[in-house]
Amino acid sequence: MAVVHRDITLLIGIAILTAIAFAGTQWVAASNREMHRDNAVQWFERAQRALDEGRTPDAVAALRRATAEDPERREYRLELASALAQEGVDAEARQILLALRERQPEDPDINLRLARLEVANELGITDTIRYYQIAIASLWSDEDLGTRRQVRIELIRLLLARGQRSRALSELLLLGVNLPDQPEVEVEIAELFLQAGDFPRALEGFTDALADEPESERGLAGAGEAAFELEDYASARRYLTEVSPDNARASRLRTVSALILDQDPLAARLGTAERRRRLVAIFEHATQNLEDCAIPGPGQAGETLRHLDPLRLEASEFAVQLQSASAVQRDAVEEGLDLVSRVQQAVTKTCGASAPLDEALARISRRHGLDSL
Amino acid sequence: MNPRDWRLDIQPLRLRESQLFLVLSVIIGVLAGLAAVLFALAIDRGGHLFFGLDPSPLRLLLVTPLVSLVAGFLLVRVFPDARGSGIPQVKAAFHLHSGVILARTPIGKFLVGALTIGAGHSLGREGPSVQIGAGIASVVGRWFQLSPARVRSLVPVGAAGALSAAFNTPVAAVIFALEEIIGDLNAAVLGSTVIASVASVIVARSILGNEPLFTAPQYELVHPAELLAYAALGVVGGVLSLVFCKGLLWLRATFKRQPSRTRVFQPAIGGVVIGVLLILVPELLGVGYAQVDQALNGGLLIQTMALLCLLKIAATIVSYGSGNAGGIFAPTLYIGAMAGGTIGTIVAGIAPFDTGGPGAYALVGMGTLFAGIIRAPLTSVFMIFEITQDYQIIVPLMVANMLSFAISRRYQPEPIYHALMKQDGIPVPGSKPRVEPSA
Repeated sequence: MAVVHRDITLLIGIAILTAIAFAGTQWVAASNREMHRDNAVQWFERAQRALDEGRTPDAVAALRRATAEDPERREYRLELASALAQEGVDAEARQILLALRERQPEDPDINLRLARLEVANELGITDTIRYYQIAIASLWSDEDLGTRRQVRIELIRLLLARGQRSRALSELLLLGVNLPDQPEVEVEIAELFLQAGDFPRALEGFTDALADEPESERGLAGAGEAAFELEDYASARRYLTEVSPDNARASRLRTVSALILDQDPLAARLGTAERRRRLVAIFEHATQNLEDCAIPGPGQAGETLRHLDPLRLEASEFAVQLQSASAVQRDAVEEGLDLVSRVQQAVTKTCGASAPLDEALARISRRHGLDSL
Repeated sequence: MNPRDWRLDIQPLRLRESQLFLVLSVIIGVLAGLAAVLFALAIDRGGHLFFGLDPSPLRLLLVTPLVSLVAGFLLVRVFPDARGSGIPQVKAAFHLHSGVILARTPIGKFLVGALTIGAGHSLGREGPSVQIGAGIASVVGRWFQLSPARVRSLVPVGAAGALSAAFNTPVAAVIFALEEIIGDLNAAVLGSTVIASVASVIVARSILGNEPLFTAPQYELVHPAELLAYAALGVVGGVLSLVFCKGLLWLRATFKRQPSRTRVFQPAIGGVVIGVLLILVPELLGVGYAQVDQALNGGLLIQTMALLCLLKIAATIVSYGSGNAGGIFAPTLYIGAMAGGTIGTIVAGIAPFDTGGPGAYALVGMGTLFAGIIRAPLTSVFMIFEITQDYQIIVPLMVANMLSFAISRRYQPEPIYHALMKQDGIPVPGSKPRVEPSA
């Protein structure tokens, strides 16, 4: 052994020492990690208690400790982000979620939380849609179907709220695939079609739901509204009559539908007397609106209402013509309805008109190809 | 076989000194890395042991002074070279004592440093790690009976290795060893420091993982006019650096003027002040990287950051000035992050243009204070890059660093480590010492 140089012996010795030191350090590091994990669990439990008791600031402090003790645990960071968002510290919550997303870009939970945070802060729609879509795409297993549907519905509601109807309709069509046969789900989706302006699909959805649950208030109200938008006022009135009078919108639509059905002078299968009666009624309503509108309000100059004078003159001439005729021909009815339509437009533009009959007249005009309001 | 022939075969196993130096650079890198990691783990374990999960106010008040009393005894009676950060001692060993650091110094630094920092003193572990690494290098060099010049050259190698593992910053560690320990960026030991730094960081990452010390978002200069705001941060950083350096030197000199029989108790006096501060502001406990992380992510209020900045300056001055064992790197970064976050919040509130947010300023603030206090501007730039793994904010960082560095140098011409050496009666080395050529 004496022949082996001292340096070599020392090097071998130091290498062995280094290996032992390495193993020892690894053991200490593992032990410290375990200690921190235990600490983190305790902080997390405290945070949960604080959240249950509504002490969000305490929960945030405890969650900060938990994440500091065990930075690898995704659950703690997600909970911290939620608690921070509850506290209104959105920037930090977003930062935490973005950091998590960097590691797991397709995690549905992280993407969904980010999307909801963006919605709450009314931030850029592009990123928000991307987060929603990644979340939806990542929720692919059978157990996730319900969640995926709800997330897509959230996205559709967001798109509708931001005026992106065509994108909302695309998502709605995807949503319609493999729907469970549950009336409440059908109604929810039909309501979204209604909001997106796809009235035929909305009516189809509502009627499907009503076939299973004929008494459904939401189904009846939705079907009534969809039929109303499709100008099927008879069906609309039929559905809406079944809806509780407490539903203000349904009541108004029912009233307007009834007025359209009762006051349209160009409706089919009417006798000339009835046509005249209807024309007189709507003409009187329109001229009354015109006269009321032509009176200057307090502080309003009369010159600002001069543009109504030609219509007033025309209306007075038509009134004379209407009085002199005991029965009116269809041409005269059309002429009268055209005048009523123009009067209503001018009145609405100048003074506003929001009575149910005003809305009914607007829809009658549109129904017969006259200028809509 | 003739035994003589067999002996001849063994001859190639003898290593020439230059080859041995290279091999030792790797081994020292690994050992320094292990020591730095173990030191960090010991501090961590000590902190848990002393304070538990959620310490009571009484515990916060008593732990630091009591542990400091033990540390004071050890520092006076057993490990006199383990006081302070360790970097001035390493510089002295390199420039004045042919690289000789006694074996008991790194051992003492490890023990006392772990006790002191674990007990909540506002001090960092990086300076002590540098001394421990340098000490290991010196001891190993002497075990191998290297020439004094070689032993001396191993000191910055060990220092770089330890700093590389302590901060997970291999490049900054090399630059620090050259810029601060040797004082010459063209030193011949560059190759060995790089080898040790890489070996060390590999060891550290294999044990602790490859996460950056702080996780900060990618920041960048949002608007060109924002450079003015960063310049203002540089000025503030320079002023804070001056306050810190002058305050620390003044308090340390005051303690040193006291009778020598009080030396044992001086760290405990600092401990009492820290105990009181910890009751009032528990966020000052220990190294404080969690708060720095929060500041970098824009998660602290302006009032909190301003308060923590001022109190950290005071706490670090007290902890260090009273003669405890621990470094000023980490407190420097902490103060810088808080100052930067404060300025960033103000700028975001009043600037007529978009700004990078408080986190970006906190990031630049860290480098700014490092440049102003440690006076190693190049190291500070690289350290910020490596700590955060963010290379987007280089221009603001350099502007603020240079301003802070210039202000600090103008009003405190002597760098803090030189001033500390002077206080200890150690001759200050020249800026460009002779370094022996090495492997």
